[in-house]
Amino acid sequence: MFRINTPPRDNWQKLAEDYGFHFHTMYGKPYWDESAYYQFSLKQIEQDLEAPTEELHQMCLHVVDKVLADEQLLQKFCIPESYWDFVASSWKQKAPGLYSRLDLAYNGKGPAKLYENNADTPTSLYETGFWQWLWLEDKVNNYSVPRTADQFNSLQEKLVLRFQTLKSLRPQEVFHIACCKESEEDRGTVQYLEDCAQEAGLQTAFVFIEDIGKNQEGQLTDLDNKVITWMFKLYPWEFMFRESFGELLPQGKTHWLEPPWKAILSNKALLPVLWQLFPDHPNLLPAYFENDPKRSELKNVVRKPIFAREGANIRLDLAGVTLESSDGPYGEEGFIYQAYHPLPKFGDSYTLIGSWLVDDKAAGISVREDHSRITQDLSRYLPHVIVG
Amino acid sequence: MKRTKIINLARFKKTQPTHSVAVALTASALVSCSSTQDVEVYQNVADCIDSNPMLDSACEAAYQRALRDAYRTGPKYGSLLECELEFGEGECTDYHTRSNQHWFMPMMAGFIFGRAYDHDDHDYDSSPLYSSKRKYSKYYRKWATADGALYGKQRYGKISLKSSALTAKPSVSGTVSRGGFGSVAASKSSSSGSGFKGGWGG
Repeated sequence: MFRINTPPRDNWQKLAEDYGFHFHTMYGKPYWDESAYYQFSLKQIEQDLEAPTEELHQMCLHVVDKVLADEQLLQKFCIPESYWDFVASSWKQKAPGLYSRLDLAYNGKGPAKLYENNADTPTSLYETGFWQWLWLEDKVNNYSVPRTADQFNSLQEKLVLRFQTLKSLRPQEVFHIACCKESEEDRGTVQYLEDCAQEAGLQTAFVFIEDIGKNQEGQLTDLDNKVITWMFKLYPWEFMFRESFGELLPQGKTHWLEPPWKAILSNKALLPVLWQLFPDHPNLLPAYFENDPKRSELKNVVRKPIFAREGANIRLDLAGVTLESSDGPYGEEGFIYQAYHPLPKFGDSYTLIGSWLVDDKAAGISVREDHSRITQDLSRYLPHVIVG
Repeated sequence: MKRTKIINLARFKKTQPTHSVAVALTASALVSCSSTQDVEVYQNVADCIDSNPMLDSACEAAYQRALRDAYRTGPKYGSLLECELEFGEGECTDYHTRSNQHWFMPMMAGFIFGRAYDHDDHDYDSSPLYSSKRKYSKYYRKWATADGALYGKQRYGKISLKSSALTAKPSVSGTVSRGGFGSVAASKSSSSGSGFKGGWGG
């Protein structure tokens, strides 16, 4: 695993414009950074990232099974009781999921360590599945990376295939897609999903989360008052459970992507239960709930909110002294504590691997860099290649 | 091969092939997502005419149009209680549609009176605005448009609003109410001030 400097393509900003990639620069700071790329060997990809990703995913599914059978755990996961049946029945019915991203600390050798599972609303999807793929095409064609270079990135191919499978389960049905207003990044991400769904032949419609309505029968509607029967929402389940239309969900007939059982996977309480079920697994870090006396055994520890997104409200304590912390709007539901395992440092940047799954198949990686040890929504995105 | 074999690039292109069109699209997209517009907001026709004595008929027309839009696009509730819980006691009125449906709607608390730069006629832009008197509502002392989007503190006179306040809002008929999702995201972005600006993906 190397970090290799490379000249950016002359025309990349024009290309970004043509393809509608508008959030390559956010709040005046570069987000997409092609002044360097990461290089992995095929062995590193297949043994250290691809296989562990699929194994970790299966382990996480075991946790869902365990949590749904245990009221105490459901409480620790802060799932409101009125939604327990809603979540459990989606699991019993094997409601299909779409995709996930595991965040891994990996330095090129030794086991990758799971930081967390973004299974409900993962972003940086477009940058991974499409934009870094296009980057490699261009770089190979202008001879600035070896012609034999590959990339661990079958994300788009797998998404389109997954949509074809889902279409066969819900033929003739309009597939609604939603995200919140005011975020160009979220809007771009769901636009990409919509493009992939259309590539698979689905009939799609978009609505903002805030514009969703309800009709007299208590069904959810879009802005044309059409009933929403099947929807992808880039919006956390834990928010929906606490909002006024949430009460419509348990009786509702809408089929959801991601399915309600993902509320358990995307929850940070997943981490201590994983450690409990698979202690000393090479890809896991010790993690404990707040009230677990064992957490005092952790000398260097990362405190993470039960619910949080984009690296918000993380605190890193080394030997009792807070080294870094990030602010944000999360944390009221409590925290979990995970052993600190440093990210590898390349130059003056800390590097995090996002490892993607479509359904239960590993589908590629993304690389993010930050000057801080805490990777956040503005951390730079760098492309990667496989050579050798 | 560990990567996607082939991508239908045309599907993912967002601009037209000719250069001039691409530029035009970019320019208009920028205007629509981030610009603000200076407008005037009045509670009633009389206030509008007081400030614009030469424009009495424009004030009257803008008010009437806002009122019509309010019936067509405003929030609608199945019961008086639901409506008053959101907007405050005595702030709601009942409304019968021609198809004999019965709704409760908040009363229009003000209307936008804006100079229209983008069309040829001498009409003024108008749009109904709502505000709540109930302390626990997200609309409390704030301006909201018919679709529930918030536009800052409730005040009258010359103010600057995001242009989206003026875009046409969809009719609400078969739908009883909107805005039942999104409130947690809204409260999290406002409570953390400038500290948090990310999306709700992760």
